[in-house]
Parts: sequence; C-alpha cells; structure tokens
Amino acid sequence: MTKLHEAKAVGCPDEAALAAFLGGKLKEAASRSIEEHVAGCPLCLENVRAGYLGERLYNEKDLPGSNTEIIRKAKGIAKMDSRKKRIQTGLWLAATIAAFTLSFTVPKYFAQFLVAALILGFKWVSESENVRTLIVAMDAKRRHENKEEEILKWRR
Amino acid sequence: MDPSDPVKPSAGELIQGCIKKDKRSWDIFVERYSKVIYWAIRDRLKRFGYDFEDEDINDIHQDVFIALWAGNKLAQLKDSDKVAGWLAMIAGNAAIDYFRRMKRQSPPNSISIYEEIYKNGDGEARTLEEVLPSKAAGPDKEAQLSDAREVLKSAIGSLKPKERIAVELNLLHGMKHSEIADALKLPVNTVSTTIARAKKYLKEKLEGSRLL
Repeated sequence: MTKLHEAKAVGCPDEAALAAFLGGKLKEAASRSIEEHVAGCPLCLENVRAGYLGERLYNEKDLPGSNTEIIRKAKGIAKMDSRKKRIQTGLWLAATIAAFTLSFTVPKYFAQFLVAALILGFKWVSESENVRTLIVAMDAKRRHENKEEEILKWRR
Repeated sequence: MDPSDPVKPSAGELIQGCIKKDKRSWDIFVERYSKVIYWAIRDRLKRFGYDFEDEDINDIHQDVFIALWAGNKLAQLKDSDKVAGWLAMIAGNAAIDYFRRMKRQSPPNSISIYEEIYKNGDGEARTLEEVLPSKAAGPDKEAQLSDAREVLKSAIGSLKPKERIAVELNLLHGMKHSEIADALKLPVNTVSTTIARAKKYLKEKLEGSRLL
C-alpha cells in the first residue's frame, strides 16, 4: 500500500507544474510525464483534485466566507515586513554613527573605529531602500545618456 | 485589468505587484484569495482525518500568506490564470506541513482506493465495505478487505496513467465524470467510457479472486 507520508518525494512536481498541467499549458511530453507521476502518487492526485475544485469554486464564487480577523492579520504581514526592515536599517545607521563618534573619542583606536564606521555605513547604504532606488535611477539615467551619445555618434 | 471590471486589477497585475512588494496590491490579493485558501486548508484537514480547531486553520492561513509575501512564493507561479487552483494546492500542502511540524502528526499512514478517510469525503465516494457484499464479520472481514485492497491496488496499477487518474478521481475522490473531463481536458464521453471499462475490469479482478 502506498505510504502517503513517503509519497511526497523528491520526484513530485511542484504546485506550479501541477497548475500548468491542469491549465493544459504544458507541452505534450511534460504533460505525459506529470500524468504518469500523478497516476501513481496519491498526494499529487489529492493536489490535482484540490487545484481543480479550488479554481472552479473560486470562479463560481461558491466559497464559504473567510473571516475579517485573519484577513486583517494576513494584510499586516506586509506592514510588519517593512517595519522590520526599517528597524534593521535604522540599527545599521546607529551603529555607523556610534563607530564614527568613537573613532574621535577613543583616539587610540581611531583607525579601527573609522574602518568599522565605513563597513557599517556601507551596510546601511546597501540595505536602505531609498538609497538603492536612487542608485538604480542614477544608473538608468547614466545608461540613457550613454545611449543618446551612441545614437548621436552613429548619426554623425 | 480584469475584463469584467475595469477598476479591478487582473490576477497577473496583482501578482506582479505583490512580487514587487507593493502593499496596495497585497491588500487586494489577500481580500481576493483568502476564501479559497481558507477552504483548501479546511478541506485537506477534513479529508485527511486530522483533529483540528479553528485556531489551527487561522495559523495555517497566516503561514500560507507569510510564505507568499516573505518567502516570495508567488514568483514560482507560471500561469496566473490558475492562481486560485495553485493557491488551493499550496494551502493544502501547508496544512500537512503544519500538522507534521506543530503536532507531530503525519498524514494517514496508508491510502488506497476506498480507504475510510474518504468514506465521508464528498458523500459520493464509495468505500470498499460498501462495494464488498461480505457476509464475514470481525477479523475475517478485515482480512477480506485487506485482500480486496491488494487485488484492487494491483489491478489499478495495471491501468494506463490517464485511465488510472480518471478512475481514482471518480472512485476515490467522488468527482463527477464532467468534472474529471474538465480537469483532464478530455471529452466527457471518453471519461465515462474509460471509467466504465476500468470498473468492469476491477470487478472482474475481484471476482477472479473470489472476493465478490
């Protein structure tokens, strides 16, 4: 008898592949290979059933209600994530300032603290979303200017 | 945009927004797909016979959304037209993982056609006990059931993959012929013929083993 807890093995297609199989979006060879696997794998067959019924019930708007509290909690994940990131970025900045200040207050270790401030500062810059966006925007602008120069050169 | 409602973003636009960590897209995504995730978790737990409470469903629901946002799982989706079905599979598997991780409970030890976890599944699946007109009782009946399962397992194993999927979805999961045809992209007549032929073959095998 097939052991279900052993059934989800390395060879199981992932949910995305099974969804593509259900959508008829796979090439014939890939579809046949998944079909052969699903036929012998109870857990994947269970997923095929869940995928089919889930899609159908969703499209027919025939699903029982969720509840507002868990929806609110799930929405909060994005806010928590960005708050966590802000705290983390703030910590890198605080550590940079602390190391920079210490390099002057403890002259004996001036060079060491300065190097630490540089490393921490670099970490702060690389983690900061706004700075990263600015770098990407500047890079795009530079590429655009280079392209314009190339076009002008080519026209001449 | 969703062609039926120009104000609503389409599934593809929402998914791209969530991948880019756009919070507005995320809020709409959660509102739109929470129900299907909730349904899939409950469905899987019920079908696998887990002893669960509403709190468990709420925790798994949160786990799924964390995996989608923080784990960037949405980037794996290849076909945004099938996002609801894909989410139902993700949620069902998350339910199994949750019980394995938090309650140290594995999925049912064994699963085969007519297993009792499917007895009350959709109300249409038939158990082996219903199929076998056994006059035996107690341990004899159990032994007979076990023999019949072995016969069925080997008979089903000899079917072609598509036939096997169709038969199992019908007998094991109680799905209708039209639903199976829709899921496997086959004509309904083909599915009906395949299932009828396979059922006849299974019956012959059981009769051959003198279990029926």
